[in-house]
Amino acid sequence: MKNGFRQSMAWLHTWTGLVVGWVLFFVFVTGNLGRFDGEIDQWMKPEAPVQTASVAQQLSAAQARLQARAQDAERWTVYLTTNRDTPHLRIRSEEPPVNGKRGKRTEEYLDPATAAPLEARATGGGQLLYKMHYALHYMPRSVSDWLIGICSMFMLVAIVSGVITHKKIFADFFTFRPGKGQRSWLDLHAVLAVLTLPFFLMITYSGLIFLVFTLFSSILGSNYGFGEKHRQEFNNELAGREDLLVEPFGTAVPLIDLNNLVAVLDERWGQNQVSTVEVIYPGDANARVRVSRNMESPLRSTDELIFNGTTGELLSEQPASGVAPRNIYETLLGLHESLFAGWTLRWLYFLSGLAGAIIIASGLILWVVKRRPKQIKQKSGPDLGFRLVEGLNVGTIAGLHIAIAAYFLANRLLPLNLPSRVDWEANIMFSVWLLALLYPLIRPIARAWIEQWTLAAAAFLLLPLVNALTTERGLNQSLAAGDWAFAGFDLTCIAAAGIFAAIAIHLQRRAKPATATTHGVIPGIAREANA
Amino acid sequence: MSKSASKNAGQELALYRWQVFGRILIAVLGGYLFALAVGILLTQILPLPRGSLVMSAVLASFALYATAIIWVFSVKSFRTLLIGVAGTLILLALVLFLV
Repeated sequence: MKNGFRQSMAWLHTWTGLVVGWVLFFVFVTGNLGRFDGEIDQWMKPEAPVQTASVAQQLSAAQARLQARAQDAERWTVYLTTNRDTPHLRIRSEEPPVNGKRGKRTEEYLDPATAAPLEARATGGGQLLYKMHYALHYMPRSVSDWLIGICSMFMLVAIVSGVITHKKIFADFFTFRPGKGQRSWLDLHAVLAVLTLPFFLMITYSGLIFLVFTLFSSILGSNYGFGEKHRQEFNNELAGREDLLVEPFGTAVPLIDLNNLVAVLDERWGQNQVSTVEVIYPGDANARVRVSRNMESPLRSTDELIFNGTTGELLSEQPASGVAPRNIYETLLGLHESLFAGWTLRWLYFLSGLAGAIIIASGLILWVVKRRPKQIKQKSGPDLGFRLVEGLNVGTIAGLHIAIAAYFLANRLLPLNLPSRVDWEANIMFSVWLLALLYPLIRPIARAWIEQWTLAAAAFLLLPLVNALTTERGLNQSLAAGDWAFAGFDLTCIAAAGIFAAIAIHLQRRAKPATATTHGVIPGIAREANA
Repeated sequence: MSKSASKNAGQELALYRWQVFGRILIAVLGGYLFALAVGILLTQILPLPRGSLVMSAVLASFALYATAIIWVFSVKSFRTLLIGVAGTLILLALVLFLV
């Protein structure tokens, strides 16, 4: 398109990255927090301690609750606390599909001792925050799937064209020239991208694969037929779960007591190895119970036992590993979700995700820095498009953190009996973000950067304080009690506040000599180039 | 003279912009249809069980899409690009006809 292949790719890299950069930044930051969604869940429900009930007791409670309120559902799923990512017993019921679309799903947390809903404040928790990275908010999944799919596709193209553009992949391993404006931004962008390229490619491609049955639904549709029913048929056929390929019989036969299965599970897998129990057609003569084992490797599919739901007879045993294409698919998804990862690997994931966010942010800033000298010389002032990018950069790269802090603060400060409290937490988060995006309209851009980073630092510093004041699990108590979900959350907030404050101080120092030695605001803006 | 030169330059810029727009359309829509068509085609010709076929095609789809997009933007002249697109279409139609 341009004169050379590499130039064309540089052009493509710049524009694909710019157009969706802000959405991708949001996706990276919220998705990255999802590495610790279980811990964030705990922090956002300070009155609910981690549950320690036995598998049998959890199953009884779940069954009692589901039978009471979801008798007509087509499937039930019980998420047990034996899985590291489930601090509280969770149940889900799904109604039969309507017009080929997946039926309505309802989720609930339970207290295993009483089989009643968990007594805790209403909160979206870490789950909602993490779900935003693919479901966004305020829109149906059918819309968000396509939006996120398109943005991710842009990212894939940006990665490939970025690698092609990049000549000296080995030399750049060791190249960082700080304090040199545009050059430094390019170095930062490149060195992080080179270091994390395998992670970046994996997370992008696997992220797309999550959406593939929506985005390329015709590939499945042309072979199996369209709609949720056929999707499940495909899943079960591929996994070799013939015993699940049943239709409801139509006669009511009571479901077995699920906790009767525990003996068989313990014998096969050892104690506390179960992660989920799924019941298909509960209360029907053809009911099936599928029990999945905890994950032990990036392969997301696990060992499964399938039981007859009315007799408790073990029908079949599925190994985690299956046909090659399915293994590749499940491994990609498993690598993306990192549910198999222990503490060390989780933090490595988190740091890689952070690098990803910095790569995106530095790319966006680089676009501005590169064009600024020419733009500020224009008689009529910078173009509207340029100013738009500048404003979106401030409001997203700095402002999103304020919004996330606001989400956590709302969890502690909103009245506990507020109706639709869960919605309000998210509404506050997105209102704050909107304000941060509008803020550059009324402030010079250099000041806007400094002020938003300062505010982000203050907000994150406030979190441990507010937590200590409003709960009995403040940092002094949690550290003493070895309550690592709480201590870890508070300490991470303090670390984040420190980083944001350091950025603000750095920018403030840079801005000062510029305004003192030269006249007017514009040189000050130019100095902020290294925001 | 300078006036006509700038007019020419203006026309060239407008043409360039239209071509960029055209490429974006071809890349985004054409690339998508290409990946979809090849994906479905793969499920028709590979000798695997039905489930494995669909899964293999699905796994490859985004790689096909990305390759198509990169190609659309790497071709130097717009005319070559159009010839390439036409050639791909004919080839795909031919294979579909034979299968």
